[in-house]
Amino acid sequence: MLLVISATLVISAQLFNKYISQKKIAVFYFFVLLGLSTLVFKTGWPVFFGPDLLILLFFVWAFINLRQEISWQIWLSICLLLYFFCFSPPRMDIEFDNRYLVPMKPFIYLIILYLCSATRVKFDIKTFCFGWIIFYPLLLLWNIFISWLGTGYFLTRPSFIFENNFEIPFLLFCFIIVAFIYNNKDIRIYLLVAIAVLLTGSRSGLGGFLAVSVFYVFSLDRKRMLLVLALVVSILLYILAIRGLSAFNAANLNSIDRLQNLHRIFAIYDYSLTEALKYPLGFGIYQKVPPGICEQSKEYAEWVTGNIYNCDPIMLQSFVARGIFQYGVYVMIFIVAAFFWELRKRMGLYLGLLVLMPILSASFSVGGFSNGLAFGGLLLCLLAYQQNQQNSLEDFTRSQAKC
Amino acid sequence: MHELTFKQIIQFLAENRRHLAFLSAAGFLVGLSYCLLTPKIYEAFLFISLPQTNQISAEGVIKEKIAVPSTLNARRILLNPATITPEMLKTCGLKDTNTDRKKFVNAVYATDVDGGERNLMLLVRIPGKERAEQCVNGIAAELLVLTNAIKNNYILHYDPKNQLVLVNEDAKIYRAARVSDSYILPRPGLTILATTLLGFLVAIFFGWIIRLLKHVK
Repeated sequence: MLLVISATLVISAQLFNKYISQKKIAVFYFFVLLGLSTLVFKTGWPVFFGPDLLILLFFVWAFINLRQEISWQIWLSICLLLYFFCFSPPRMDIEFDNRYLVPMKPFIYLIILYLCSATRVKFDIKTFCFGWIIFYPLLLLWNIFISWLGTGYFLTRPSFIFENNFEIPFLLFCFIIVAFIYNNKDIRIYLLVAIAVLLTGSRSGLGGFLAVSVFYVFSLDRKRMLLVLALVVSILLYILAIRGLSAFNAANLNSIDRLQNLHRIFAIYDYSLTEALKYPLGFGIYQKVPPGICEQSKEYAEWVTGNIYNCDPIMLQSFVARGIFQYGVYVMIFIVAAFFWELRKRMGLYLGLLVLMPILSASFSVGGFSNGLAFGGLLLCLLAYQQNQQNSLEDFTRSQAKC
Repeated sequence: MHELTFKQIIQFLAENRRHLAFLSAAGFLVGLSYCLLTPKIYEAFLFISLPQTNQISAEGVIKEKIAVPSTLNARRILLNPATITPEMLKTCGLKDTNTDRKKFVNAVYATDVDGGERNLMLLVRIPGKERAEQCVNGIAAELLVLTNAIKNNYILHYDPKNQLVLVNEDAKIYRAARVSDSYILPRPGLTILATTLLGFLVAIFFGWIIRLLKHVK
């Protein structure tokens, strides 16, 4: 732990000195973040819709300043939103209300994406991303510290502002912006992100990080490639040291709660994909998880809804499991494909595929395509790309004018 | 495709305001008429405890209690148009035709209650409050007879000395039927909202096509 803390502090300080120009303002924002983090930790304020509120405010601004091509696929998202909201089969008369806003979010996000994917903002995204990459691990350490003050022992997974599986995709998007859009291949940035991912203990986050790492490794020169590979091996050895050989046993996949839920939901279709394909629009957003399946995971029902008898599909946690049940397999595939098509259209195949990785890996855990923080990060990537293109164009025009 | 601006969208909406208002109003009326004319679907449900007996191993050792038939097999009776009994159809006000058998299957929902494969929830959604209650009770009564017969046959195929020590519990309704307070379908608010919005979207779609055609000319 001491090694991790020292490495985090040293690398953060080095990156802060090198990449943050307005240091006083950055430090002020850092203390604001520390304050907010402490407040959330102490008071338990509901913050889950905070990112959605910011996205909504941004969308209003972007819509008023709209100037871009809009894909015809927006109609598909509008129709699906309308269908699921108005025509989803009714739930049982005496059952609890569902949190049906969350299942509608992927379609709302897609509509926002189609309308904002080429928006240009003046806000300095590059510095923001550097700031977040530098400050996020420090916030995690701060959370470990205040948690230690309260309980007297160190938690390997600190308390989070939102949730570890929500926060990692956003961090990975910031990393993608810095390393791929602004093409900064400083290994220390990668190392700091790796430390943050390990500190959060998020398995889907680690999956997303490893997927992004594959792209990262192949974008480096040979010397740095070897360095990163050595780093990945050390991370795996670190996991081996603290978790033992069982951490790499494929049979342990069955113990992952979100994968268990995915497996259980297939019981509705008698574990047959052909049977699942017979429900083109799933069971809709109001329908409860069948009682037999809900009973098997009642602790998640209690955890998520506060009541073991409230079989709201949100208890399935994993976006993929929930999506297959609520939207059906086809719509699930459409959601992923629609995000990818729009990203590919704006950023090209390579960056489109890369940007899809964090949100896709998170969708096997909680969050993913229905999470504001993950979608916010994806949108930030698009905005950063547009901003970078614009800056490059302006630089080119200026240099041409000089010539 | 060309770039769109907010001003263009506002202009488009202003230019097509009459079509938009007309088709939205038409959608509203369609939704309203549908809600007034369509039969009102009610929901009735109850819970059945399936017959219980013991499993016997190949060596003749009596094992723990199980439901015979299991919830899956009990569901198979209800969810297959070919295995539904004429009495079930009659109690729900349906005729013994192939069409009505399919209607029955679509109106019935049966599922395992507690993951223990012993208790079954039976739910029907059909027009009329009294008919829904009568239907679910009728199906349950018929299902009790059928499942008890399956269990009795299961016990009978064992050696008579084993039959005496086997648990022999008949199926029973353990939570009586409840009917929805009001009709669950159609849902007037959502239906009218959907048809009005659909009318609005259709107007935008046609306005867009007309605009494109003008562009081509």
